[in-house]
Formats: sequence, structure tokens, C-alpha cells
Amino acid sequence: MKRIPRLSCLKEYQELMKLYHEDRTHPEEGSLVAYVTSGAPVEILDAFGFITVYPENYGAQCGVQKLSTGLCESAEAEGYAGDLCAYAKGHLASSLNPGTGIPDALPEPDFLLCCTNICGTVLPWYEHLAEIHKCPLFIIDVPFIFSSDDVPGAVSYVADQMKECIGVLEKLTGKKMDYALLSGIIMRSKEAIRLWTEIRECGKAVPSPVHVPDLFLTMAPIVVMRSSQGTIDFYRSMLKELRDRIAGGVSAVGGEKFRLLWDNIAVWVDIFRFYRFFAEQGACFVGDTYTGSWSQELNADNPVQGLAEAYTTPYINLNADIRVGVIDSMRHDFSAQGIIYHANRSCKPFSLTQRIIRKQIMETDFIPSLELDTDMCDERLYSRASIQERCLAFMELLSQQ
Amino acid sequence: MQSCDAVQGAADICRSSSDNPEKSVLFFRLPRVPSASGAFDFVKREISSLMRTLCGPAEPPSEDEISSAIQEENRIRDLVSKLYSLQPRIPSEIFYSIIRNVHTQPPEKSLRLLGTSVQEACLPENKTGIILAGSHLPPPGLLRIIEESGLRVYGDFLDLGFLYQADRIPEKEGLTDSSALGILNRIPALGQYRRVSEGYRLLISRYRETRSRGVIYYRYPFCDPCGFEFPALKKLLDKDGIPIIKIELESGGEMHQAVTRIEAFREMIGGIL
Repeated sequence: MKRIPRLSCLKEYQELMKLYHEDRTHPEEGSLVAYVTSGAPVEILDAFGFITVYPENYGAQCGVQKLSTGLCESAEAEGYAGDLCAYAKGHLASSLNPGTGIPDALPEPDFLLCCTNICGTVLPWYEHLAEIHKCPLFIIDVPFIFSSDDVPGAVSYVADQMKECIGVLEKLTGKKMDYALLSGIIMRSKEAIRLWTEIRECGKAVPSPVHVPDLFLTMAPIVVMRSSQGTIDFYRSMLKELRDRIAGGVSAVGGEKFRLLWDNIAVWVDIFRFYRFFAEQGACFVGDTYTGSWSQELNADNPVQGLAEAYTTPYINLNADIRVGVIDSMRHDFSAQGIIYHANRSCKPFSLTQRIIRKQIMETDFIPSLELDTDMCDERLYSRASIQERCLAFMELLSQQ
Repeated sequence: MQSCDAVQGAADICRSSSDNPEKSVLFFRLPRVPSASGAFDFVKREISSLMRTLCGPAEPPSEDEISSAIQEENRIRDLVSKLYSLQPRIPSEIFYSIIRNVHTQPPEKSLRLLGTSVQEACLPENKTGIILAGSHLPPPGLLRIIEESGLRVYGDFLDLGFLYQADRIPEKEGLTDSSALGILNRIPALGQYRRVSEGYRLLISRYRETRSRGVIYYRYPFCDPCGFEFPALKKLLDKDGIPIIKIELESGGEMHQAVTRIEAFREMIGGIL
């Protein structure tokens, strides 16, 4: 078996995540717990001292631990449709049947914060969570950005809702929002985002010191604890290690033959074997669209307006033309030779427009690409043998070019 | 109209593949939470933007013209409301073809059609009534199966059906304000936050008013809002002892499974063929 170099900072990562999970498994007496969507302005909750729990992160963990399929079946037995998001089904099944899924991963929530900038699925998902847990729900409705003209109106609408959310939290906690504290939190988030962006950009080096599955594994802090000092410290270590690799000409896949881009959420259900298969062929995923969803610029000077601007325009809330522009820039910036589009059955906002994006990119300036029709978590929709066969054929094509 | 991820994605595909992307698809973004802070101003901006795009360089309609359009729309809703009171006397396929026409025909044609339909609906109520719920408007094939099974739709809980006519548009507020209020005050549609238990009170009262015997919930493939809604609805109806069945419509319009399930449902609720 080919030797694939392992990042030594992963040990630090495991320590960081261990602390994160301990906080959630055994929250301090009197602390409030909030469930929150991955695209929500969590800095507001941080300023009120909430312990935040991410159901989507839980869904991904269930995928990695191969618990999703059973949980999805359980949700379907409750009446949820089979073609819904596997994160949502897995999490709802665990919420409806305490004791199933990952043990102790879901402390009882006191508050739910749902932000629709990632999809419409989170709306009924959180609505059901509010019914199940009998706790208050606040929804920040973020309109989809069909054209750049939509941005100012959408930002103003989102800012109004964030102000309302702060008012709701002030009543719930009995504390006034400390805007200086919020600015400090945003500053730390901003630093974590800057480091994360630089880490992702290390993939531009040839050979690339980073293989995208490394990003999938280490993205948890930028999603679930982006304003913590621990996150900043860890990403500094990771960035340093990647820069050392660049200086030493170390390839993340131990001998880079192909440079690929990845579109969409990871295949969590087979994360280690699926991506290792590519590394063994010398194919390195040098960049991706998914982990870039947490690269928005934050502005600490005018906190609410800055948060509204950042959280209105994540990649997944933008129209197909803007996404074409992003992928097209990446293919050049990262010197990519091919693109793999994960047509993810679970994620409609990511997947529905993929075909038109792929067509436009191929028409502009041809680049080989492959569409993999599978799912991020549900093993019933994932067939390793046929997917590997298609990927091998794709790499044969690449090697002929 | 933005109602779910699938519609949003489909609209984006149409726009992006068009030769004239700015004009081919006009988006109207619906607030997912009608009561949210800023929702009123947001809808007003959406209306103004839609008007600008529709009018182009031409003169926009006057206040009077808009006002009379709103009055006309309210007349249509009143007639639809009257038609709903006669629903048990109208075969389901015909009833929903009238409703579908109301949504697709110009207002004056809709008014004529509704006027005639209200006068002509005179069949006796001789079938077992059910309430229909689910995605938007039902396909004719499903309605045919319902009628052939000895059932008839006596009422519905559909965005473009009963819920559409349930609220009149305010007529005194000025043109954008009226339209914005009309949109925000209506019963939230699928894909909007509609507070499961509150929304279904209306469904249950419709069930009782029409003396229906069960609820048929149908869903188009990949309709996320319906895919989430059904279990919560079923739980609430089970508490009240109201029978409900889900029909998953198949891609390509096949209805074989639906026939068997609806016939079994009719037997369960004691309907006579």
C-alpha cells in the first residue's frame, strides 16, 4: 500500500475536538445550550455565552461512523420522505428516539437558531426540533441571491432580523448584548477565517501539500467553534505545517500525478477509503467548493451590519453564474486538470445546478470532469465498486491528456 | 416565486441557460417567515423590483389601475370561496380543473368561468368525502382514482386551493402596501414557516365542517416541504382520530400504487363504492 504522509497537526486537532465534545457532553451547571445551523451568525450566541451544538455536524459524524443509514430508515418509518437530506433525517431520528445515534452528542437545547442561508431544509427541520424539544426557535430568513442587485435589500432584511434575534436573546438570558464583547468575538472569528482561507490556498502550490479530505477532517473548528482561541492556535499550526511542506516540496498524496477539484459536500459515509483511493492513484484534490463556505469576510467595526453582509452571501446561497465564476477561477488558480462533481442526493441547493455549472465551465474552456451520483451519508445510495470503476476510467482519461 | 430549494434551483437553471438571463425568469422571493422583522419592507422591495422589470421603459400602472386589479382579484377569491362551499357537489377532477384555470387564465376569463361553475354545480352529495392535502394542486390522474374509488374531495389544505382564497387582499392601503400585506397576511404556504400545530387547526376545522371521513396527503417526488410536513400532520390527526394516508406520486405520472392504497383507504374509512 502506498505511503500517504499524515499531517502531524492532526494530534492537536483531536485534542481540540475532544475538549469541544467534553464541553457539550457535560455542560456546566446553568449554561444554556443552543442548536444552530452551520451558516448561522454564531458570534451572536457566543456573545451571550451559549454552548452551541451543530445538528449538521452531528449528521456528518453519523455518516463517518456509518450510523446514518439506520437513522434514516428510522426517520422514514416515522413518515419522513426517503428523498430528504440525510443530515436532517439522521438528526431528527436521534432526537425522536433518545439513545439512538452517537451517545451523549446531543445535550437538550434551550434555544434553536436556524439561518436559511444554506438551504430551505433547515426550516422544517428546526420547526420539528422546536416541537420535539418544546423550546424557542428563532429563524433568520436569508433570501437567495439570484443577482448581485439583490444583495443590498437582502442584507438590510437580514440585519433587521439579527437585531430582532438579539432582542429575543436578551429577554431569554436576562443579559444585555455587550457589543464590545461581540466585536472581540468577531475579531477572533475573522482571524480564524483568514487562517482557514490561507490553509485552503496552500492547495495552489505544486505539488499540493494538502489533499481536500484533510480539509474535510479539519474543517470542524471553523464551523463549530470559529471564534475560539483554540481554533486560531490549531489553524496556525496547520498552516505552518503546510508551508513547511511547500518549502520541502512534499506532496499530500505522496507523489502527485493529477490535480483535481472537488465540488459539494464530502462523501462522509466512506471518507477514509473513498479519498485514499484517489491518493493511491496519485490524484490530489487540491481545492474544493464546500470548505470555502466558511471564508466570508467579517467586519468587527459595525458588528450587526458586518454579520448580515457576511452571512447573506455564502457560496451555496449564490446563483449558478456566480458559482461558475468561483469554480472557473479555482481551476486556474489551483492549476487543476479535472473536476469531480458530487451529485449529492441529500443536498439539493448544492446539487441541482451542478449540471448547468459543469456545462458552462466545459464550454468556456474545456476541462475534463466527472459527475458522481451518490450521497454524503446514506449507504443505500453509495456503491463503492461502481464509483471506483468510474473514477478509474476518469483518471485513465486524464493520463492520456 | 421562491418556495423551496427545488423551485429555486430550477429557476436558477432556467435563468442561467437563457440567452437573456435578466429577462427570462423573474424571481419573486417570498419571506420564509412572514412575521419576521423587515419582512414587510422586503416584500415591498420585491414588488417594486418586479414592477420595474415588468414595465421596463414603459409607464408603470397608475394607483387606480392597481387598485381595480386588486378589487378584481378579490372578486375572484370571493367566487372561489363560493365554489368551495359547493365542492361536495362537483366531481373532483372538474373542480380542480376550474381552480387550475383560475390560476392560469386572465382575470376576466376566470370571473366568467367561476360565475358559470357556481351556477352549474348541482350534483347531489352521494360520495364519501375526504380532505386533500399536500403539494400545490393535485394531478388529474389522482383525482380520477379518488372518484373511481367512491370518494370525493370535499375540502383541501392546498396552497393554490382553499388556502389561496382564504384571505382577501386589503384594498385601502396603497398599491405596494396592499400587495405586501396580502402576501404576508395569507396563511403561510409550503416552504414557509407555518407553525405545524397552528396551521393544521384550519385543516381539522375544514374536515369537520365538510363532514369528511379521512385525509389523503399526496406528495410529488423530491418535494421537501411535504416530505417534512407529513409526519407532524399525521401525529396531530392521529390524536384526533382522523384517518390519513400518504400517496407518494411516482416520477413519470404512474399511479398503480395509488389505486391500491386509495381503495384500501376507502374500505378503512367505510366508504361505499
